[in-house]
Amino acid sequence: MIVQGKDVSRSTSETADVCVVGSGAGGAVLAWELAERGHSVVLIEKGGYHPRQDFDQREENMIPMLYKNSGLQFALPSGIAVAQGSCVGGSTVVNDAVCFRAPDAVLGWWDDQYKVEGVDPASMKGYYEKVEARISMSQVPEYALNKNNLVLKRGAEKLGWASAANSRNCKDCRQCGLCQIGCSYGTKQSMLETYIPDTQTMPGDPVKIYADSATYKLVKSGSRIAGVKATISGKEGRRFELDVKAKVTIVSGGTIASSQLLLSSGLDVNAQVGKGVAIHPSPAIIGDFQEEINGNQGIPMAYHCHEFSVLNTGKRGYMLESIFLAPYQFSLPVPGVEFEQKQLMSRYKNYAVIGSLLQDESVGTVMLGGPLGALLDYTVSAGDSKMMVEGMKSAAEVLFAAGATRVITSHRKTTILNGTGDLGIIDDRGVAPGALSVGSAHPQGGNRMGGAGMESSSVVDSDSKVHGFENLFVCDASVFPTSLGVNPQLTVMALASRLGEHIGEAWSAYSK
Amino acid sequence: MSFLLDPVALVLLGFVSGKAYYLLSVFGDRVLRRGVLKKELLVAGAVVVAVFWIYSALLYVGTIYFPWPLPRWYGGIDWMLNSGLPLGLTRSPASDVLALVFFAAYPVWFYAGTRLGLSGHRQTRGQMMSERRRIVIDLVATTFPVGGAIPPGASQVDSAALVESLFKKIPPLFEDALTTILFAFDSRFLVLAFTGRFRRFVDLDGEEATMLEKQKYLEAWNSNPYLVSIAQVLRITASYGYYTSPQVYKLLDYAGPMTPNVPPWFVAGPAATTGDGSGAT
Repeated sequence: MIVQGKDVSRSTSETADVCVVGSGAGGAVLAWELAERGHSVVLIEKGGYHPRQDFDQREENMIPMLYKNSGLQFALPSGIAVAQGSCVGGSTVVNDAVCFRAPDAVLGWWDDQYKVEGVDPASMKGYYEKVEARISMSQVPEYALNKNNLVLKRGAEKLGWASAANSRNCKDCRQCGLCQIGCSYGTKQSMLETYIPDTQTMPGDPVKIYADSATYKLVKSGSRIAGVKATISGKEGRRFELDVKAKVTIVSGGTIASSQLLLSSGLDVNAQVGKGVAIHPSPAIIGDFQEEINGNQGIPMAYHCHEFSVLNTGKRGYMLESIFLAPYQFSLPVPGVEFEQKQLMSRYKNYAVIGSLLQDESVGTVMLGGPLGALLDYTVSAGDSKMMVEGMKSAAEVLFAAGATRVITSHRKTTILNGTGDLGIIDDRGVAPGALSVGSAHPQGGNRMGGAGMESSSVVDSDSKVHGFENLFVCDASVFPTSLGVNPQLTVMALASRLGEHIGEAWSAYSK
Repeated sequence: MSFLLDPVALVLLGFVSGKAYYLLSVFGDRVLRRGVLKKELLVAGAVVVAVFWIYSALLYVGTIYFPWPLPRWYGGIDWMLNSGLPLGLTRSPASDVLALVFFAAYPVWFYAGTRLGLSGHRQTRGQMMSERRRIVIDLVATTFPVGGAIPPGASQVDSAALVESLFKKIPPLFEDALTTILFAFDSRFLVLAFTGRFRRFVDLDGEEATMLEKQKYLEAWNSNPYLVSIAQVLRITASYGYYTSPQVYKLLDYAGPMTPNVPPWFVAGPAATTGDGSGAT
């Protein structure tokens, strides 16, 4: 049963075995896993419930409807735009459906540096396979690569750099190019099309979902969490209270919201909540081609170059990913003002775009404050700045190798390179706060995992249980101890599947 | 404090309170509910006036000294009546009556300052929205002027209406924050700081057909390292109204919404091969 705010006209209370806060890659999988094991679940989601029939492929409608803060969320003082979904299904509804397993090297760091147990590649393999099968993950075939993706492929191959087509959770993709504003064909196998509907067809209706409901407090009772309190945005804009009592509570609101909830509930575990946030800052680099690329026509993010990525080197680095967007979102990193920006945007159909996804150091902090309740303090570190410059230069090299006549960076001061001889200009411009328009869609960390002996520098243990609490868990990208270096949704789902299994097996210990 | 200076100080404090009320009133409707903030303004006024009454009365009856201009300490009565000037006034029954009249006027001075601070500003939600619309119209028109590689200007593709529609779609608190940014952008004081002209943004260029002053002001925000993030929010807002316009879509050769139809460029192929997400080919 899915309860929407518009259907609510009074305050209400619920009792369930498990309360899950957040319905994205972590929460939806957990709700299903636990319901499968016979537990009743109340799933609370701040955003609205919007089935694919609501997706009209219009940016002006979909962005306010599906994105957190209508897409206007920024890290300060860097001004980096941080995109997150806010709807039933979470960011899986608005992402590009790209699936990567966590790189072996990264899982190794989690084990070595943070003593996290049971996350080595062999242990995680089964969980990955399980979710990959459910979300119909497959590698994008050659015929489905549009010109924008082929530019990256051609350039990387010419330079001899490692590259490959992405694996995606999409079934019979219609290649409309609008993954970021909701898949109106229902072919993207987001949580909205997979785990969420699965929970609604189970016998006995064990999962009740409350949409439009903002959780604001975890109710503490000694070393246990007795339940949660939420506010439902109900009928005619009125607000109603939702009280949920549960034996086990799992916070899966995503980086920022999960830390915000812990902090606002007075649970700053080891003074570590909100610390160590990474965001994969990803500047866009635009190649201008004589031929028409029509990058909006086809899968936006179907190819990557991992030559300098942890996937290839085993070291922190950056990955180049093809990307394209509808005009409004596309215009945001395009530099210049007034006539100059119009001039640049007029070449929309001749552009190919590469995003350089930086595997950043975890230097950000989520804190309470501001009109929206939480702030993300994040400044690109000196080491990351250098690596970001290298990433942009590599992207420019690929674009020139593929035949671009010029390359435009997303520096706010218009920066145009006319050949590889101009790459040094990127060094000169730098990436100081305010100098560059940068986007991020992968906030992670803030409630990091730590195994035995690492309690003082972490929030949750190897099983995602919050230190010092018997029945409180966090499961989303916020538990990543370090930056992942690849698109994170698959790893969040796998960790959720793992946690679901663990809670199921140890139910009597947690539910007493 | 003195009978000479108190009225000036009270008017100034009232003025500042009025300005603060104006800025916060964007949030007032929703966060504090209509009217509550006005009560808070009254409370602030009562506190300020009470402090002035108590302190000045103690000075006037000679209980305390006034510590200015240091190192000299003025006697309270002397300070209240002469304010450090060689007026030679002393306390008398007549001055006592006059003092009572002065004290009675303190709330009036504060109130007058408040009215001054609020004058010219929108004081109802309707007025505020009307002012915001004016700012939005000029902001989008300045950001996307007529002409250039994409000929229509924002004013010709009704971008302001699209931005106004955005306000209805975003969370109320976010609308308030955005509205406050727009009002701050329109502020005479900030325009003065960047252009040297003590005018609101919407009043720049006067009757001129060009938008040179407005453009100069907008560019100043964009190139200021402290304001660039806020300028980015303004640009995102303006772009929302321009690059989602059907006319602009057409000029960019962007197909726009296709659902429920399959896009014309869709390439059907054989069944996909399976992958394992490892990133390897």
